[in-house]
Amino acid sequence: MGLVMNTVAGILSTGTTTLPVALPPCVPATGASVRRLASELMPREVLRIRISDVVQSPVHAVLGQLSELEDGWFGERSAAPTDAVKREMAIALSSVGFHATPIAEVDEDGSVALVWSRDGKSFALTFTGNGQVIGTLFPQASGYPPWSLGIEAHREIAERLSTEEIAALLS
Amino acid sequence: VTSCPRVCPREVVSQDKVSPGVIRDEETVARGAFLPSHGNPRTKNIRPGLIPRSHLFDGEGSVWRVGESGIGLESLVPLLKASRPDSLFGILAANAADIRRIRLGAEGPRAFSLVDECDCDQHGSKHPAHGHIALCRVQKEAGVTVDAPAFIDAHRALIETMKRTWIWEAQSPSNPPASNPPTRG
Repeated sequence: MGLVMNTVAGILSTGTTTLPVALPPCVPATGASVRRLASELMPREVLRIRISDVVQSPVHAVLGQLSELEDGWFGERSAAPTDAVKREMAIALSSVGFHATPIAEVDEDGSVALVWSRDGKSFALTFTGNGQVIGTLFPQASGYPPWSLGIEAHREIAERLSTEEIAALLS
Repeated sequence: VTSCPRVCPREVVSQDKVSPGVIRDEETVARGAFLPSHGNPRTKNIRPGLIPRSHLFDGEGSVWRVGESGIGLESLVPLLKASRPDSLFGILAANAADIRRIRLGAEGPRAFSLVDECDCDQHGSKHPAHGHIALCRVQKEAGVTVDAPAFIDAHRALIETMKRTWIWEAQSPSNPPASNPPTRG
């Protein structure tokens, strides 16, 4: 199990373009495929991602890797991302067209952040499973305070991602 | 969020009898990075699990004071390795002032206290070079939650600040050790 977890952790952090280990660049999430995935991730259903799905969608790829994590993956206090977190990622990202490859970061509480970094700046979308997506920019900037929106607030999410600075990180 | 005093009252009074004194702004504090959750030694990507948000919220984000007021790398490395054999891949550091500069939201109050609390485990063990980063108590009492956007933002800023300076790296054939430890602080 330790080897498996190491492998998964490495996969989640590499951000390379070798499938199926990371999100392929220049492949924006398609609304239809992501909505279909969201429907597959209803509570109590077992998450199963086929390799063909992974190749088709970057969102599929990251969700597939997250599914490999189990509670206790880094000690007794560490939690795997819940189905709610993964389902909410799929729903929220159905409205996001991104080309740059994000890195998926998992905190020990099971929350997941998708992070886009360039030139010392980074933008993160964080999912904690509470129905909200949280956007944060580093370095902290007064012109772009952290925000929280419902995962289905697609228009508002798109607006927050359309600023020049954020769009540059995602493109 | 609630405003709090410019000078944190917990930071100006030593919090532990075994401490050499309060943590000064010019000091460097460090944190060990362990496999698998803290990141990838090959790509140098560091994940938020380096200091879990829940630890900061609970007031127990452990750090080590390195340098004159704390512990040397020659002692810290074996100390950290002893806690989780074979999984330490790096030690990351930041200037105390940079941590104290992080806000709850860009224009909010200070996010974190950095205090000389020397309890380094749940069993009462103490080390004089140990300290804690914690969500400012004033903000916690004012209702900031572990999932608050401003707190998540501050946590990300802390991780980004910490991961910029590696003061030690595990040696491997494809990952030679850093030659010049502390670059700041």
